[in-house]
Parts: sequence; structure tokens; C-alpha cells
Amino acid sequence: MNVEQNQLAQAIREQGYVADQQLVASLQLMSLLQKPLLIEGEAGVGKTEIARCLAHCHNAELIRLQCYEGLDAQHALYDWDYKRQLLAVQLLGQQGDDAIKSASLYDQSFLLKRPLFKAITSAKPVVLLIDEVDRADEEFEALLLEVLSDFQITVPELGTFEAVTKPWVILTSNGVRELSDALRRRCLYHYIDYPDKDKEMAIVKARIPDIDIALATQLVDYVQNLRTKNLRKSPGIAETLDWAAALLGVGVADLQRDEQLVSSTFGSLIKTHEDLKLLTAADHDAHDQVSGA
Amino acid sequence: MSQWITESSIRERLIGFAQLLRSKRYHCHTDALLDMASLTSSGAIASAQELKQACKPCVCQTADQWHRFDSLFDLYWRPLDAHEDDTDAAGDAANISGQSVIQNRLVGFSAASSDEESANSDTGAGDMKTLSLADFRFVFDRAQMQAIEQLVDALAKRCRKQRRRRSRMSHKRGTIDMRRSMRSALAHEGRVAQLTYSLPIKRLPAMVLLLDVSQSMEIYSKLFLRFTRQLMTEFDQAHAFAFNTSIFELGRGHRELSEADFERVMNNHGKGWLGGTQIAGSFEQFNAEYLQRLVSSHCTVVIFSDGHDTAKPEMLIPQMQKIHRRAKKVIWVNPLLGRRPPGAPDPKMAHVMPWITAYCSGHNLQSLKLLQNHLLKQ
Repeated sequence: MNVEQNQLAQAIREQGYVADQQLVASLQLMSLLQKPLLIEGEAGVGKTEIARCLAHCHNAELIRLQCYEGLDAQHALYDWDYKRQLLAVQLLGQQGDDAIKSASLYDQSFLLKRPLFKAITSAKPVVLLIDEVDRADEEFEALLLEVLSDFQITVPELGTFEAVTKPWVILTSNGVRELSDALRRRCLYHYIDYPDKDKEMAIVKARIPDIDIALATQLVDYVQNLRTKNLRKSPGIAETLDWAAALLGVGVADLQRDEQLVSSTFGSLIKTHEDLKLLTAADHDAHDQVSGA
Repeated sequence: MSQWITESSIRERLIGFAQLLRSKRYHCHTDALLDMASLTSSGAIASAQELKQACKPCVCQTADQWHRFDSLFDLYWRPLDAHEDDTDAAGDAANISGQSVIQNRLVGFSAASSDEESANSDTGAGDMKTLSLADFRFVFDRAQMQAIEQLVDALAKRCRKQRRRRSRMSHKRGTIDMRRSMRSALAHEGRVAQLTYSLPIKRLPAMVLLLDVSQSMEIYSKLFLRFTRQLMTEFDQAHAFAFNTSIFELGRGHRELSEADFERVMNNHGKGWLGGTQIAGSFEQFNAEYLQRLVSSHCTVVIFSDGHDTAKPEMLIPQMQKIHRRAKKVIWVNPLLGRRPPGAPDPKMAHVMPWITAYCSGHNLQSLKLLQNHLLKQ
């Protein structure tokens, strides 16, 4: 690991984010190659959090664009403020024809900047998070290509705006649908998997320092075991942390001793009714086996 | 740059590595290669480990590629990395020998893949390319044929009524689009001279139909072919494929395809109606050649198959994952489902069930009507 990577790893650690060497290397590559980073992984493994963390590390503003089906240029890039334009044209109309002829209704004062435009034109360093890009339509992906490859936005009425300071761009995807090759080609790629036991322990300790080590070990073992089961929605790191906080909140000190209390906190760990039923049945079986023995 | 590898040879090695990755279906494009080359020449890379960490984000594009990358990298670079501590002269010699190792290795890879292929074909389906000119025009009577046509017509009509979130502009009817109306008012000094409306886009859904025409499906594939043909005639964005030991395209939508056309396509491919089934192999071929182009987030993939595969059931999992991730819905129509008691598990299908949106039977007209409901569900 070189000096810059060490510094970045240290800064990330200080934010309470446990990153492996490969993630640090990927983040450093973003800066070196000035390319966006596409992060894929299951929900709740810390994809969005890394953008927040990176913004803190670089002391930069975080601009977030949450993607959804039907997201278009008017909501992502820019729009014209038509109400102000109408008022302006009516005022100019009162001043006479010459005023209208010489006035421009398409200048920057009438431009409503949306997240992508803000990120490109910001004079200060910016981390741009394009979250859950797989939820947006394919047409929107095409819209992103110019921004991601050339860091510029073209407004037909005004011309092309190039980035003043190139933003760090992070795109996240849960793999709801496959992204186009054109988009992938313009990005560096990183996949965040569910953490192994040691990493998850480190995350729990970093995020919830008050937790007892014995309880944290039990909790991580339980979640790791849960991920091996065929659940509809396996718990991510976010769920582990939520569950740890819930357990502390209700005063659980031992998972096996306080079963009743533990089961009351399953809502923060399990997110579907089917999974909850499966888990409850498995727990009953295990309990029966223990009592039978 | 560090002395673990000389700068003069690294470009050639990177090119060799890129070739290896391409042979393993990585989209290692020129930009990625240039990125890797610029990183190595910038002095940022001091060891093989750092090269691995730098190359990985540049060349990987999917989770599957991400997980396979480490072993491929180690396989290619490890012998060269072993010479890290050698002197310059020894290092040069190692580079030269390393070059031949790489070339041999690349040849070795291709040999290995062909070996694998031959091994697969040995254990795979019996490729009975039996030509059968069985005439299926008389399998159903006219009334049944009309029932299928009516079913598909009704499906198309109901699909046309479904709305999408995107809209198109209209000057005559629809809901008033304030943004566009105000924009057009600017040309008239702010007076709204003409209202602009937005109409929901009505477009028939895209469909990809994958039809199993192997021996085990012989009884039903003719029924499904008729159903498919009718769907393709009504839906302009429908693509149909047939598969047994390999996959081939039957045609595009919105074409008046006669049954003779279908017969001709089948016979031209020399597959006939009989033969073994390689579902995993056929889907792998489909994913490699057609998935990116034909299947999008608005597309429904319908698979007509009994799930009987000569390959191991687990081999189908990665292919189904790929289809599931790209498509809006994956509907598996299994005609044998009708013979099983309700709720009885099917060991052949259990492993792919997580990647199927709807699993239904299609052994008669009644069950095809139920399939219609699955196709209509948003």
C-alpha cells in the first residue's frame, strides 16, 4: 500500500467505515484516473455510506441524486424556471417591443440547477452520488454518458458547461436490472460483498463502540449464519447495525439468555414476513432439539 | 517505476493479460488497457498485489467478473512475480522466459477450454439431430386454434391499455402539461395561446420467448409454437427462440408467420423435433449472443420448458441469474407442472426458483389463460 493509499485508508477509518485494501485502491484510482466508480452489491452493504465517507475525507460537499423509474433530464440536469420567465416577459411587454427584442429569457438566471448540473458547475470539490442507478430507465443512462465521460453538460440555449473541478462520482447499483455496457465502460467497477466474520466484527465495534464484545460476537455469528439460509432478503451490514442498536436499546446482554427480548427485535433484522416465519420455525426446532437432548 | 518488473515488458504483458481476459468473456476494452498502462507507467504500482488491485476495477464490469478476477490474475502473473527479487539481468531473462510462459499459457487456456467443451459434449445431451417432418397442422382442430388466437388477441388488447410512467406530447388531448404549455407561451409574450397536453405512452410490452423443442417436450411444443406464433404476430417487440441442444432464432415480432415458416426454420437448423436438451448450454449461448440486445427492463422473458436438462441442474443457475437481472419478469411455463400435486416440490426446478418471477403450467388452454394473467401483471 503506497503513502496516498495509507492516508486515504486512515481517513476512511476515522469516519468509522471499515474498508478493505481493494476498496481503498478503487477509491484512489478514481482520483488518479478521474473516472466515476460504479459500486455494486446487495442492499445494505455500505455502498451509499462510502460516498458520504469519501466526501468527509476530501472535505467536499456531497450531492446526491436518487434514481427512480421515470427520472428525466428536468429532474437530474436542469430545467428552465418558466414561471419567472413568464413574469419577466410580461414585465418586458409593458416596457415595449424593443425591450422584449433585446432581452434574453434563456440565461443562467432562469436556469434551475439540478444535482448533476450543480456537481459539474460547482467551484468547490464535490462528491456526486448517483444512487441506485439501476432503478432509472435506460434513457436516463444515455443521459449520464456525457456527464460521466467528459464531465460536461450541454444546454442547447447556452452552450456546453465543463466541470470547474472534476467531481468524484460514485454510482451505486443493487443489480435490480443490468446496466448498459456503455455506462459500465465509462466507470471503474467495485463489488461490495457481505463481510466475513472478522470484518463484520470490526464494523460493529467501529459503529457501536458501547457494545459488549461477547454480545457482538454472538450477534455477528447469528447474522453470518442467517446469510447461509435461503432467505428472501439476507440481512446486510445496515441490518446488523440496526439490530445491535435495538438489542442495546432493549437491554439484551446475551442472545441465548434473553430469547423473548431478542425475538422482539427481529423486526430490525428481518424485512419480510416469509423470512420471519422461517426464522421463527428454525428457532423453535433448535429449541426443541436442545430441550429434547 | 519499481523494479519488480521492467517497464519495457509490462505493456506487452498487459496486452497478453487483456487477451486472456477477453478469452474469458471480459470486456477488456482499449480504454481499460490504456488506464492500466498509464497506472503502471505513473509509478503508482510497486508490486503485483498493487497491480492486481489497480487492474481489477478497470477491467471488471460485473459481479461475476469481479469474483473470477483474482484467480485469473494469479494464474497469469504468479510465475513472473516470483522473479521479483532477481537482479536486472536475471529479471530480463525471467521476462523473456516469462513471455513464452504467457504465450504457452494463452495457448494452454484455449486448449483447456476446448478440452472442457469436449468434456461437456461427452457428458452432455445425446445430440440426436433427428430430422422429423412431422406435420403439426392437424394436431388441433380449427376451434382450438381459434381459441388460442382469441386468447392472444385479448392479451394484446389488455396490454395496450396498460400505461407507462413516461408520456408523450400531444396538441389535441390528454392532461395539460403545464411545463410545456408555459414554455410555448413564452413565444406569445406570456399569453397561453395554445395548451400542450401529455398522453401516456401505450406500447406493447417487449417479450422474449424461449421454447424447448426437445424430445421430452414433444407433445406440448407444438401447442406452444402455435401460441408463440400468435404472440409474435400481435406483439411487435416479440422475439422467439427454440432450443434443444443449442438455441436458434425463430423470428421477430409483427410478422405474419405461417406454420410452414416455422417448420422450415426448424428443419433448416437440422434440429427437427427430437433430441436431447441442454438448457444451461442453450441459455449460455442466448445470454452471450442476444441478452444484451433484446432483453431490457421492460422485457418479459417467457420460457416454455419442462426443466429436463442433461447437464447438472446447478449449471443453469448463473444463466438464470443473468436473465433475471436484466428482464422485467421471468415466467417459466412447465407443462409437467399440471401432472404434479399442488405444492409438490420439483427437484429439477428447485435451484432456479429464486430467479423465476412466476412459475406456471401451460398444458392446456385453461392454463394458458392463467399465463395471460402473469403476463398482464405489472
